[in-house]
Amino acid sequence: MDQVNLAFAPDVLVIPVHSTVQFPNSDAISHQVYSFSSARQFQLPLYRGRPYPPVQFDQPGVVTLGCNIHDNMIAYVLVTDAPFFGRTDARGQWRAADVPDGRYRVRVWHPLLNEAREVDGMVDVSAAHGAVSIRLSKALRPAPLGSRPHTWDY
Amino acid sequence: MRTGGRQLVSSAGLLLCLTLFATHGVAADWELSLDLRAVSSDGRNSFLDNGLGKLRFDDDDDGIRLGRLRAAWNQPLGETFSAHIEASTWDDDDKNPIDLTEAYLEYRPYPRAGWRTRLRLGAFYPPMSLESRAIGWESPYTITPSTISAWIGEEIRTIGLEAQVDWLGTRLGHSFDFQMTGAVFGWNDPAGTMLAMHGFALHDRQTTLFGRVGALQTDLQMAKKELFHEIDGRPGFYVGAQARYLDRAILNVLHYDNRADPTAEAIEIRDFAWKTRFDAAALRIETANDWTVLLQAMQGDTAINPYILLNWDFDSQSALVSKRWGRHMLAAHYDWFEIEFQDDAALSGSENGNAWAIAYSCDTGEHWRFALEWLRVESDVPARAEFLGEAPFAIESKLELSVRYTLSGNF
Repeated sequence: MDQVNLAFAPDVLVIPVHSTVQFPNSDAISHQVYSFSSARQFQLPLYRGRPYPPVQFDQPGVVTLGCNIHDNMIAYVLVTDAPFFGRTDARGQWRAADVPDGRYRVRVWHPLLNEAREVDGMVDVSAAHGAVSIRLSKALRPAPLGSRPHTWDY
Repeated sequence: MRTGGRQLVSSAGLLLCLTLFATHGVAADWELSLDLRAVSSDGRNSFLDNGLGKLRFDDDDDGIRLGRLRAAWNQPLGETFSAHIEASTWDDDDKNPIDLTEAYLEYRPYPRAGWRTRLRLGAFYPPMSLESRAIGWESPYTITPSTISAWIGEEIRTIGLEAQVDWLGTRLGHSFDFQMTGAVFGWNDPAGTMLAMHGFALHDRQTTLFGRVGALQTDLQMAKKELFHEIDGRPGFYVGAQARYLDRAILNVLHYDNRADPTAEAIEIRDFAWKTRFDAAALRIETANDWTVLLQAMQGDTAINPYILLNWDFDSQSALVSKRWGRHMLAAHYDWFEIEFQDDAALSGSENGNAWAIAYSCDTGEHWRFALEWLRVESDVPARAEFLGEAPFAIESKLELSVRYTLSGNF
Protein backbone atom coordinates (compact mmCIF):
# COMPACT_ATOMS: atom_id res chain seq x y z
CA MET A 1 0.00 0.00 0.00
CA ASP A 2 1.67 3.16 -1.30
CA GLN A 3 1.33 6.79 -0.18
CA VAL A 4 0.92 9.21 -3.08
CA ASN A 5 -0.22 12.85 -2.99
CA LEU A 6 -1.15 12.64 0.68
CA ALA A 7 -3.34 9.60 0.22
CA PHE A 8 -2.93 5.88 0.70
CA ALA A 9 -3.14 3.97 -2.57
CA PRO A 10 -5.16 1.82 -2.65
CA ASP A 11 -7.37 3.08 0.14
CA VAL A 12 -8.71 -0.41 0.83
CA LEU A 13 -6.71 -3.62 0.76
CA VAL A 14 -8.19 -7.07 1.37
CA ILE A 15 -5.67 -9.67 2.46
CA PRO A 16 -5.72 -13.17 3.97
CA VAL A 17 -4.54 -13.62 7.56
CA HIS A 18 -0.78 -14.09 8.05
CA SER A 19 0.07 -12.06 4.97
CA THR A 20 2.36 -9.04 4.90
CA VAL A 21 1.98 -5.55 3.46
CA GLN A 22 4.71 -3.11 2.49
CA PHE A 23 4.01 0.59 3.11
CA PRO A 24 6.29 2.61 0.81
CA ASN A 25 5.98 6.40 0.76
CA SER A 26 6.25 7.85 -2.76
CA ASP A 27 5.58 11.43 -1.62
CA ALA A 28 8.40 13.94 -1.33
CA ILE A 29 7.28 14.65 2.23
CA SER A 30 7.48 12.32 5.20
CA HIS A 31 4.60 10.28 6.58
CA GLN A 32 4.14 8.48 9.87
CA VAL A 33 1.82 5.50 9.64
CA TYR A 34 -0.12 4.17 12.61
CA SER A 35 -2.90 1.79 13.48
CA PHE A 36 -4.56 1.43 16.86
CA SER A 37 -7.09 -1.12 15.58
CA SER A 38 -7.30 -4.19 17.79
CA ALA A 39 -6.63 -6.53 14.84
CA ARG A 40 -3.13 -5.04 14.40
CA GLN A 41 -1.51 -2.17 16.24
CA PHE A 42 1.70 -0.75 14.81
CA GLN A 43 3.58 2.46 14.04
CA LEU A 44 6.04 3.32 11.34
CA PRO A 45 8.12 6.34 12.47
CA LEU A 46 8.39 9.30 10.08
CA TYR A 47 9.82 8.16 6.76
CA ARG A 48 10.13 8.54 3.03
CA GLY A 49 10.76 5.85 0.47
CA ARG A 50 10.72 2.25 1.62
CA PRO A 51 12.81 1.97 4.77
CA TYR A 52 10.79 -0.57 6.78
CA PRO A 53 10.20 -4.30 6.35
CA PRO A 54 6.63 -5.35 5.49
CA VAL A 55 4.06 -5.46 8.30
CA GLN A 56 2.49 -8.83 9.04
CA PHE A 57 -1.24 -9.19 9.79
CA ASP A 58 -2.07 -12.30 11.85
CA GLN A 59 -5.57 -11.54 13.11
CA PRO A 60 -8.73 -11.14 11.06
CA GLY A 61 -10.44 -7.77 11.31
CA VAL A 62 -10.44 -4.23 10.01
CA VAL A 63 -7.17 -2.34 10.47
CA THR A 64 -7.65 1.41 10.06
CA LEU A 65 -4.50 3.28 9.04
CA GLY A 66 -3.67 6.92 9.47
CA CYS A 67 -0.72 9.26 9.15
CA ASN A 68 0.08 11.05 12.39
CA ILE A 69 1.09 14.19 10.46
CA HIS A 70 -1.71 14.38 7.88
CA ASP A 71 -5.08 13.69 9.45
CA ASN A 72 -6.90 13.56 6.14
CA MET A 73 -5.02 10.39 5.20
CA ILE A 74 -7.03 7.26 5.96
CA ALA A 75 -6.95 3.72 4.61
CA TYR A 76 -8.10 0.25 5.57
CA VAL A 77 -6.58 -3.20 5.53
CA LEU A 78 -9.27 -5.84 5.77
CA VAL A 79 -7.67 -8.99 7.10
CA THR A 80 -9.85 -11.99 6.48
CA ASP A 81 -9.82 -15.72 7.20
CA ALA A 82 -12.55 -16.38 4.63
CA PRO A 83 -11.67 -19.03 2.04
CA PHE A 84 -12.71 -16.67 -0.78
CA PHE A 85 -12.38 -12.92 -0.67
CA GLY A 86 -11.70 -9.91 -2.85
CA ARG A 87 -12.51 -6.35 -3.66
CA THR A 88 -15.52 -5.49 -5.78
CA ASP A 89 -15.05 -3.53 -8.99
CA ALA A 90 -16.41 -0.05 -9.68
CA ARG A 91 -19.85 -1.56 -10.41
CA GLY A 92 -19.86 -3.36 -7.08
CA GLN A 93 -19.30 -6.79 -8.60
CA TRP A 94 -16.96 -9.51 -7.48
CA ARG A 95 -16.41 -13.03 -8.76
CA ALA A 96 -14.71 -16.02 -7.16
CA ALA A 97 -13.29 -18.91 -9.13
CA ASP A 98 -13.00 -22.59 -8.28
CA VAL A 99 -15.59 -22.53 -5.51
CA PRO A 100 -16.65 -26.05 -4.46
CA ASP A 101 -20.37 -26.77 -4.38
CA GLY A 102 -22.10 -25.85 -1.15
CA ARG A 103 -23.94 -23.16 0.75
CA TYR A 104 -21.89 -20.05 1.52
CA ARG A 105 -22.38 -16.89 3.47
CA VAL A 106 -21.22 -13.75 1.63
CA ARG A 107 -20.26 -10.86 3.90
CA VAL A 108 -19.93 -7.32 2.59
CA TRP A 109 -17.77 -4.65 4.12
CA HIS A 110 -17.05 -1.11 3.04
CA PRO A 111 -15.33 1.65 5.06
CA LEU A 112 -18.24 4.00 4.36
CA LEU A 113 -21.06 1.58 5.17
CA ASN A 114 -23.94 3.28 6.89
CA GLU A 115 -25.69 0.11 8.00
CA ALA A 116 -26.59 -0.66 11.58
CA ARG A 117 -26.11 -4.39 11.11
CA GLU A 118 -23.69 -6.65 9.29
CA VAL A 119 -24.49 -6.89 5.61
CA ASP A 120 -24.54 -10.44 4.28
CA GLY A 121 -26.38 -12.90 2.08
CA MET A 122 -26.46 -16.62 1.40
CA VAL A 123 -25.50 -18.22 -1.89
CA ASP A 124 -25.82 -21.82 -3.07
CA VAL A 125 -23.11 -22.93 -5.42
CA SER A 126 -23.76 -25.97 -7.59
CA ALA A 127 -21.92 -27.06 -10.69
CA ALA A 128 -19.52 -24.09 -10.14
CA HIS A 129 -22.36 -21.56 -10.47
CA GLY A 130 -24.19 -19.38 -8.03
CA ALA A 131 -24.96 -15.74 -7.57
CA VAL A 132 -26.22 -13.49 -4.85
CA SER A 133 -27.23 -9.87 -5.00
CA ILE A 134 -26.92 -7.84 -1.82
CA ARG A 135 -28.51 -4.42 -1.58
CA LEU A 136 -27.54 -1.82 1.01
CA SER A 137 -30.45 -0.29 2.87
CA LYS A 138 -28.72 3.11 3.13
CA ALA A 139 -26.39 5.04 0.85
CA LEU A 140 -22.68 5.00 1.69
CA ARG A 141 -21.21 7.91 3.66
CA PRO A 142 -19.33 10.47 1.50
CA ALA A 143 -15.93 9.29 0.32
CA PRO A 144 -12.77 11.18 1.40
CA LEU A 145 -11.88 14.07 -0.92
CA GLY A 146 -8.18 13.31 -1.08
CA SER A 147 -7.27 15.71 -3.89
CA ARG A 148 -5.95 18.78 -2.09
CA PRO A 149 -2.56 20.28 -2.97
CA HIS A 150 0.25 18.95 -0.80
CA THR A 151 1.08 22.46 0.42
CA TRP A 152 -2.26 22.61 2.27
CA ASP A 153 -2.77 21.38 5.83
CA TYR A 154 0.94 20.70 5.99
CA MET B 1 46.27 0.67 -3.51
CA ARG B 2 45.10 -1.00 -0.33
CA THR B 3 44.65 2.33 1.42
CA GLY B 4 42.68 3.59 -1.53
CA GLY B 5 40.45 0.54 -1.37
CA ARG B 6 39.82 1.10 2.32
CA GLN B 7 38.95 4.72 1.66
CA LEU B 8 36.51 3.60 -0.98
CA VAL B 9 34.94 1.11 1.42
CA SER B 10 34.70 3.68 4.20
CA SER B 11 33.23 6.30 1.94
CA ALA B 12 30.76 3.73 0.64
CA GLY B 13 29.90 3.03 4.28
CA LEU B 14 29.43 6.72 4.91
CA LEU B 15 27.24 7.03 1.84
CA LEU B 16 25.17 4.08 3.03
CA CYS B 17 24.77 5.67 6.48
CA LEU B 18 23.76 8.96 4.91
CA THR B 19 21.30 7.22 2.62
CA LEU B 20 19.78 5.32 5.54
CA PHE B 21 19.61 8.56 7.49
CA ALA B 22 17.85 10.25 4.62
CA THR B 23 15.39 7.50 3.74
CA HIS B 24 14.37 7.03 7.36
CA GLY B 25 13.04 10.54 7.18
CA VAL B 26 14.83 11.81 10.27
CA ALA B 27 16.24 14.28 7.79
CA ALA B 28 15.12 17.87 8.03
CA ASP B 29 12.70 19.35 5.50
CA TRP B 30 13.45 22.83 4.25
CA GLU B 31 11.62 25.27 2.04
CA LEU B 32 12.67 28.49 0.44
CA SER B 33 10.23 30.65 -1.46
CA LEU B 34 10.37 33.98 -3.22
CA ASP B 35 7.09 35.76 -3.87
CA LEU B 36 7.28 38.79 -6.18
CA ARG B 37 4.38 41.11 -6.83
CA ALA B 38 3.32 43.47 -9.54
CA VAL B 39 1.04 46.02 -7.89
CA SER B 40 -1.33 48.67 -9.13
CA SER B 41 -3.01 50.36 -6.16
CA ASP B 42 -4.95 53.54 -5.48
CA GLY B 43 -4.78 52.93 -1.71
CA ARG B 44 -4.46 55.75 0.80
CA ASN B 45 -1.16 56.08 2.64
CA SER B 46 -0.73 52.57 4.10
CA PHE B 47 -1.00 51.73 7.79
CA LEU B 48 2.56 50.43 7.35
CA ASP B 49 3.67 53.99 6.57
CA ASN B 50 1.83 55.56 9.52
CA GLY B 51 -1.21 56.27 7.38
CA LEU B 52 -4.78 55.08 7.74
CA GLY B 53 -4.96 53.28 4.42
CA LYS B 54 -6.27 49.74 4.62
CA LEU B 55 -3.88 48.15 2.14
CA ARG B 56 -0.33 46.89 2.40
CA PHE B 57 0.61 48.49 -0.91
CA ASP B 58 -0.68 52.05 -1.37
CA ASP B 59 -0.62 54.38 -4.39
CA ASP B 60 3.11 55.01 -3.82
CA ASP B 61 3.90 51.32 -4.16
CA ASP B 62 2.89 50.69 -7.78
CA GLY B 63 5.36 48.52 -9.61
CA ILE B 64 7.34 45.41 -8.71
CA ARG B 65 7.46 44.63 -4.98
CA LEU B 66 8.72 41.83 -2.81
CA GLY B 67 5.68 39.94 -1.54
CA ARG B 68 7.59 37.68 0.80
CA LEU B 69 10.89 35.89 1.03
CA ARG B 70 10.43 32.89 3.23
CA ALA B 71 12.58 30.13 4.66
CA ALA B 72 11.21 27.24 6.69
CA TRP B 73 12.88 24.37 8.48
CA ASN B 74 11.21 21.30 9.98
CA GLN B 75 13.50 19.04 11.96
CA PRO B 76 12.20 15.73 13.31
CA LEU B 77 13.77 14.94 16.67
CA GLY B 78 13.33 11.24 17.22
CA GLU B 79 9.99 9.61 16.51
CA THR B 80 7.52 12.03 18.06
CA PHE B 81 9.29 15.35 18.60
CA SER B 82 9.98 17.95 15.95
CA ALA B 83 11.21 21.51 15.69
CA HIS B 84 9.66 24.08 13.30
CA ILE B 85 11.12 27.39 12.29
CA GLU B 86 9.59 29.94 9.89
CA ALA B 87 11.56 33.02 8.87
CA SER B 88 10.48 35.75 6.48
CA THR B 89 11.09 39.19 5.19
CA TRP B 90 8.46 41.52 3.73
CA ASP B 91 10.90 44.16 2.55
CA ASP B 92 9.45 47.10 4.43
CA ASP B 93 10.73 49.28 7.22
CA ASP B 94 10.99 46.45 9.76
CA LYS B 95 13.54 46.17 12.56
CA ASN B 96 15.36 43.13 11.23
CA PRO B 97 16.10 42.30 7.61
CA ILE B 98 14.86 38.76 8.19
CA ASP B 99 12.99 37.58 11.22
CA LEU B 100 10.96 34.71 12.62
CA THR B 101 7.19 34.38 12.38
CA GLU B 102 7.05 31.03 14.18
CA ALA B 103 9.51 28.86 16.09
CA TYR B 104 8.34 25.94 18.17
CA LEU B 105 8.89 22.43 19.39
CA GLU B 106 6.13 19.92 18.81
CA TYR B 107 5.42 16.67 20.60
CA ARG B 108 3.00 14.47 18.70
CA PRO B 109 2.84 10.97 20.17
CA TYR B 110 1.06 8.19 18.29
CA PRO B 111 -2.68 7.89 18.86
CA ARG B 112 -3.82 5.26 21.33
CA ALA B 113 -7.30 3.75 21.29
CA GLY B 114 -8.66 6.65 19.26
CA TRP B 115 -7.12 9.43 21.37
CA ARG B 116 -4.15 11.61 20.56
CA THR B 117 -2.45 14.45 22.35
CA ARG B 118 -0.22 17.12 20.89
CA LEU B 119 1.93 19.68 22.66
CA ARG B 120 3.55 22.76 21.17
CA LEU B 121 6.06 24.91 22.99
CA GLY B 122 7.43 28.12 21.53
CA ALA B 123 5.93 30.79 19.27
CA PHE B 124 3.15 29.84 16.84
CA TYR B 125 -0.36 30.71 15.63
CA PRO B 126 -3.38 29.65 17.65
CA PRO B 127 -5.44 27.07 15.73
CA MET B 128 -8.23 29.36 14.61
CA SER B 129 -7.81 30.15 10.93
CA LEU B 130 -9.34 27.62 8.58
CA GLU B 131 -8.25 30.01 5.83
CA SER B 132 -4.48 30.18 6.45
CA ARG B 133 -4.01 26.49 5.76
CA ALA B 134 -1.14 26.67 3.24
CA ILE B 135 2.53 26.55 4.17
CA GLY B 136 3.83 29.71 5.81
CA TRP B 137 0.37 30.37 7.33
CA GLU B 138 -0.82 31.69 3.99
CA SER B 139 -4.24 31.56 2.42
CA PRO B 140 -4.22 29.32 -0.64
CA TYR B 141 -7.40 31.00 -1.88
CA THR B 142 -6.45 34.66 -2.35
CA ILE B 143 -3.30 36.78 -1.98
CA THR B 144 -4.97 38.89 0.69
CA PRO B 145 -6.75 36.91 3.38
CA SER B 146 -9.83 38.01 5.31
CA THR B 147 -9.62 40.90 7.79
CA ILE B 148 -9.76 38.33 10.58
CA SER B 149 -6.77 36.32 9.33
CA ALA B 150 -4.88 39.52 8.48
CA TRP B 151 -5.36 40.76 12.04
CA ILE B 152 -4.28 37.43 13.58
CA GLY B 153 -1.14 37.54 11.44
CA GLU B 154 -0.50 41.10 12.52
CA GLU B 155 -1.10 40.99 16.27
CA ILE B 156 -1.64 37.49 17.61
CA ARG B 157 0.95 34.86 18.37
CA THR B 158 1.02 32.20 21.05
CA ILE B 159 4.33 32.42 22.85
CA GLY B 160 3.88 29.67 25.36
CA LEU B 161 2.57 26.13 25.70
CA GLU B 162 -0.41 24.62 23.89
CA ALA B 163 -2.02 21.24 24.44
CA GLN B 164 -4.45 19.54 22.07
CA VAL B 165 -6.47 16.39 22.56
CA ASP B 166 -8.01 14.70 19.54
CA TRP B 167 -10.68 12.06 19.49
CA LEU B 168 -10.13 10.35 16.13
CA GLY B 169 -13.63 9.06 15.55
CA THR B 170 -13.08 8.53 11.83
CA ARG B 171 -10.42 5.95 12.76
CA LEU B 172 -13.02 4.11 14.82
CA GLY B 173 -15.62 3.90 12.05
CA HIS B 174 -17.51 7.08 12.97
CA SER B 175 -18.09 10.14 10.80
CA PHE B 176 -16.72 12.74 13.23
CA ASP B 177 -13.45 13.76 14.84
CA PHE B 178 -13.27 16.16 17.79
CA GLN B 179 -10.46 18.27 19.15
CA MET B 180 -9.99 20.38 22.27
CA THR B 181 -7.20 22.94 22.57
CA GLY B 182 -5.91 24.94 25.49
CA ALA B 183 -2.90 27.22 25.79
CA VAL B 184 -1.11 29.42 28.28
CA PHE B 185 1.00 32.19 26.85
CA GLY B 186 2.83 35.43 27.54
CA TRP B 187 4.42 38.16 25.41
CA ASN B 188 1.18 39.11 23.63
CA ASP B 189 0.20 42.07 25.84
CA PRO B 190 0.33 44.70 23.05
CA ALA B 191 -2.26 42.69 21.03
CA GLY B 192 -5.10 45.07 20.22
CA THR B 193 -2.94 48.14 19.81
CA MET B 194 -3.09 47.98 16.00
CA LEU B 195 -6.89 47.69 16.00
CA ALA B 196 -7.02 50.84 18.10
CA MET B 197 -4.35 52.65 16.05
CA HIS B 198 -5.31 51.86 12.46
CA GLY B 199 -8.21 49.42 12.69
CA PHE B 200 -8.68 46.36 10.55
CA ALA B 201 -6.66 46.07 7.36
CA LEU B 202 -6.51 43.85 4.31
CA HIS B 203 -3.00 42.51 3.89
CA ASP B 204 -0.87 39.39 3.91
CA ARG B 205 1.99 40.73 6.02
CA GLN B 206 2.62 38.74 9.18
CA THR B 207 4.36 40.53 12.01
CA THR B 208 7.63 38.86 12.91
CA LEU B 209 8.45 37.89 16.48
CA PHE B 210 11.07 40.59 16.88
CA GLY B 211 9.66 42.98 14.28
CA ARG B 212 7.17 45.80 14.30
CA VAL B 213 4.25 47.37 12.46
CA GLY B 214 3.88 51.01 11.50
CA ALA B 215 1.09 52.94 13.20
CA LEU B 216 -0.56 56.32 13.35
CA GLN B 217 1.68 58.91 14.94
CA THR B 218 0.09 60.69 17.87
CA ASP B 219 1.40 62.37 21.02
CA LEU B 220 0.50 59.27 22.98
CA GLN B 221 1.93 56.64 20.72
CA MET B 222 5.16 55.95 18.99
CA ALA B 223 5.07 55.49 15.27
CA LYS B 224 6.13 51.86 15.30
CA LYS B 225 4.59 49.10 17.32
CA GLU B 226 6.13 45.92 18.64
CA LEU B 227 3.56 43.27 19.32
CA PHE B 228 5.28 40.48 21.17
CA HIS B 229 6.18 41.78 24.61
CA GLU B 230 5.37 40.77 28.15
CA ILE B 231 4.33 43.87 30.06
CA ASP B 232 2.36 42.91 33.16
CA GLY B 233 3.70 39.45 34.02
CA ARG B 234 0.21 37.95 33.76
CA PRO B 235 -0.14 34.91 31.48
CA GLY B 236 -2.98 34.80 28.97
CA PHE B 237 -4.91 31.78 27.79
CA TYR B 238 -7.12 30.45 25.04
CA VAL B 239 -9.40 27.47 24.78
CA GLY B 240 -10.77 26.09 21.58
CA ALA B 241 -12.74 23.23 20.13
CA GLN B 242 -13.00 21.72 16.70
CA ALA B 243 -15.44 19.26 15.16
CA ARG B 244 -14.79 17.64 11.81
CA TYR B 245 -17.28 15.74 9.68
CA LEU B 246 -15.14 13.28 7.68
CA ASP B 247 -12.81 15.54 5.67
CA ARG B 248 -15.76 17.55 4.31
CA ALA B 249 -16.66 20.02 7.03
CA ILE B 250 -14.80 21.56 9.90
CA LEU B 251 -16.11 23.85 12.63
CA ASN B 252 -13.66 25.70 14.84
CA VAL B 253 -14.31 27.90 17.87
CA LEU B 254 -11.79 29.73 20.04
CA HIS B 255 -11.93 32.00 23.06
CA TYR B 256 -8.81 34.13 23.55
CA ASP B 257 -7.98 36.34 26.54
CA ASN B 258 -4.51 37.76 27.05
CA ARG B 259 -5.55 38.72 30.61
CA ALA B 260 -3.50 41.87 30.35
CA ASP B 261 -3.59 44.46 33.13
CA PRO B 262 -4.80 47.56 31.24
CA THR B 263 -3.04 49.87 33.70
CA ALA B 264 0.38 48.35 32.99
CA GLU B 265 2.76 50.26 30.74
CA ALA B 266 6.01 49.37 29.04
CA ILE B 267 8.27 52.42 28.69
CA GLU B 268 10.78 50.62 26.46
CA ILE B 269 8.25 50.07 23.67
CA ARG B 270 6.06 53.05 24.64
CA ASP B 271 2.97 50.93 24.83
CA PHE B 272 0.41 49.66 27.28
CA ALA B 273 -0.76 46.20 28.11
CA TRP B 274 -3.93 45.96 26.04
CA LYS B 275 -6.52 43.76 27.67
CA THR B 276 -7.75 41.88 24.63
CA ARG B 277 -10.39 39.20 24.51
CA PHE B 278 -12.18 37.72 21.55
CA ASP B 279 -14.33 34.83 20.42
CA ALA B 280 -13.83 33.43 16.97
CA ALA B 281 -15.75 30.84 14.99
CA ALA B 282 -15.11 29.40 11.55
CA LEU B 283 -16.87 26.85 9.39
CA ARG B 284 -15.35 25.37 6.26
CA ILE B 285 -17.19 23.04 3.93
CA GLU B 286 -15.56 21.30 0.97
CA THR B 287 -17.37 19.29 -1.67
CA ALA B 288 -16.36 16.41 -3.90
CA ASN B 289 -16.30 18.71 -6.94
CA ASP B 290 -13.81 21.05 -5.25
CA TRP B 291 -16.06 23.85 -4.09
CA THR B 292 -15.13 25.42 -0.76
CA VAL B 293 -17.27 27.63 1.42
CA LEU B 294 -15.63 29.29 4.41
CA LEU B 295 -17.46 31.44 6.94
CA GLN B 296 -15.60 33.28 9.71
CA ALA B 297 -16.71 35.51 12.54
CA MET B 298 -14.85 37.21 15.33
CA GLN B 299 -16.00 39.51 18.10
CA GLY B 300 -14.03 40.97 20.99
CA ASP B 301 -12.79 43.99 22.83
CA THR B 302 -9.53 45.59 23.84
CA ALA B 303 -8.89 48.15 26.57
CA ILE B 304 -6.18 50.22 28.19
CA ASN B 305 -6.41 52.28 31.33
CA PRO B 306 -3.74 55.01 31.30
CA TYR B 307 -5.90 57.35 33.40
CA ILE B 308 -9.45 56.34 32.46
CA LEU B 309 -10.61 53.11 30.94
CA LEU B 310 -10.55 53.29 27.14
CA ASN B 311 -12.36 50.51 25.36
CA TRP B 312 -12.58 49.38 21.75
CA ASP B 313 -15.15 46.76 20.67
CA PHE B 314 -14.27 44.97 17.46
CA ASP B 315 -16.22 42.72 15.19
CA SER B 316 -15.54 41.17 11.80
CA GLN B 317 -17.22 38.62 9.57
CA SER B 318 -16.11 37.04 6.35
CA ALA B 319 -17.47 34.70 3.70
CA LEU B 320 -15.33 32.96 1.10
CA VAL B 321 -16.25 30.77 -1.86
CA SER B 322 -13.76 28.99 -4.07
CA LYS B 323 -13.82 26.49 -6.88
CA ARG B 324 -10.84 24.47 -7.99
CA TRP B 325 -10.19 22.81 -11.37
CA GLY B 326 -7.03 20.84 -10.81
CA ARG B 327 -4.26 23.39 -10.49
CA HIS B 328 -6.54 26.34 -11.25
CA MET B 329 -8.68 28.07 -8.66
CA LEU B 330 -11.11 30.95 -8.53
CA ALA B 331 -11.90 32.43 -5.13
CA ALA B 332 -13.71 35.41 -3.72
CA HIS B 333 -14.24 36.70 -0.22
CA TYR B 334 -16.37 39.41 1.29
CA ASP B 335 -15.38 40.96 4.61
CA TRP B 336 -17.28 43.22 6.95
CA PHE B 337 -15.61 44.91 9.91
CA GLU B 338 -16.41 47.39 12.65
CA ILE B 339 -14.66 48.94 15.64
CA GLU B 340 -16.42 51.07 18.21
CA PHE B 341 -14.37 53.24 20.57
CA GLN B 342 -16.11 54.12 23.84
CA ASP B 343 -19.41 52.93 22.34
CA ASP B 344 -19.44 55.86 19.93
CA ALA B 345 -19.11 55.10 16.22
CA ALA B 346 -18.34 58.76 15.43
CA LEU B 347 -15.21 58.96 17.61
CA SER B 348 -11.67 58.65 16.28
CA GLY B 349 -10.73 55.05 17.02
CA SER B 350 -14.02 53.79 15.66
CA GLU B 351 -14.48 52.59 12.09
CA ASN B 352 -16.56 50.42 9.87
CA GLY B 353 -16.09 49.02 6.41
CA ASN B 354 -16.31 46.15 4.01
CA ALA B 355 -14.13 44.58 1.35
CA TRP B 356 -14.27 42.35 -1.68
CA ALA B 357 -11.40 40.26 -3.00
CA ILE B 358 -11.50 38.13 -6.13
CA ALA B 359 -8.56 35.98 -7.15
CA TYR B 360 -7.49 33.50 -9.77
CA SER B 361 -4.54 31.29 -8.93
CA CYS B 362 -2.60 28.54 -10.62
CA ASP B 363 -0.49 26.27 -8.45
CA THR B 364 1.73 24.06 -10.59
CA GLY B 365 2.41 21.96 -7.52
CA GLU B 366 6.14 21.69 -8.02
CA HIS B 367 7.74 25.14 -7.87
CA TRP B 368 5.53 27.87 -9.30
CA ARG B 369 2.38 29.55 -8.12
CA PHE B 370 0.72 32.45 -9.91
CA ALA B 371 -2.10 34.48 -8.44
CA LEU B 372 -3.96 37.53 -9.67
CA GLU B 373 -6.15 39.41 -7.24
CA TRP B 374 -8.46 42.38 -7.38
CA LEU B 375 -9.44 43.87 -4.05
CA ARG B 376 -11.69 46.76 -3.10
CA VAL B 377 -12.18 48.06 0.42
CA GLU B 378 -14.64 50.67 1.55
CA SER B 379 -14.11 52.18 4.97
CA ASP B 380 -15.35 55.00 7.16
CA VAL B 381 -12.60 56.02 9.61
CA PRO B 382 -13.24 59.20 11.67
CA ALA B 383 -9.53 59.38 12.65
CA ARG B 384 -8.67 60.24 9.02
CA ALA B 385 -10.42 63.58 9.50
CA GLU B 386 -9.09 64.27 12.99
CA PHE B 387 -5.42 63.28 12.56
CA LEU B 388 -4.76 63.51 8.82
CA GLY B 389 -7.26 66.11 7.60
CA GLU B 390 -8.53 63.62 5.04
CA ALA B 391 -12.09 62.62 4.26
CA PRO B 392 -13.11 59.86 6.69
CA PHE B 393 -14.70 57.74 3.97
CA ALA B 394 -12.44 56.08 1.43
CA ILE B 395 -12.69 53.50 -1.31
CA GLU B 396 -9.35 51.83 -2.01
CA SER B 397 -8.65 49.19 -4.59
CA LYS B 398 -5.70 47.32 -5.99
CA LEU B 399 -4.81 44.79 -8.62
CA GLU B 400 -1.96 42.51 -7.65
CA LEU B 401 -0.10 39.74 -9.43
CA SER B 402 1.89 37.32 -7.33
CA VAL B 403 4.57 35.05 -8.79
CA ARG B 404 6.02 32.63 -6.30
CA TYR B 405 8.85 30.16 -6.75
CA THR B 406 9.43 27.55 -4.08
CA LEU B 407 12.37 25.25 -3.58
CA SER B 408 12.20 22.47 -1.06
CA GLY B 409 14.22 19.50 -0.07
CA ASN B 410 15.64 17.54 2.78
CA PHE B 411 19.01 16.77 4.21
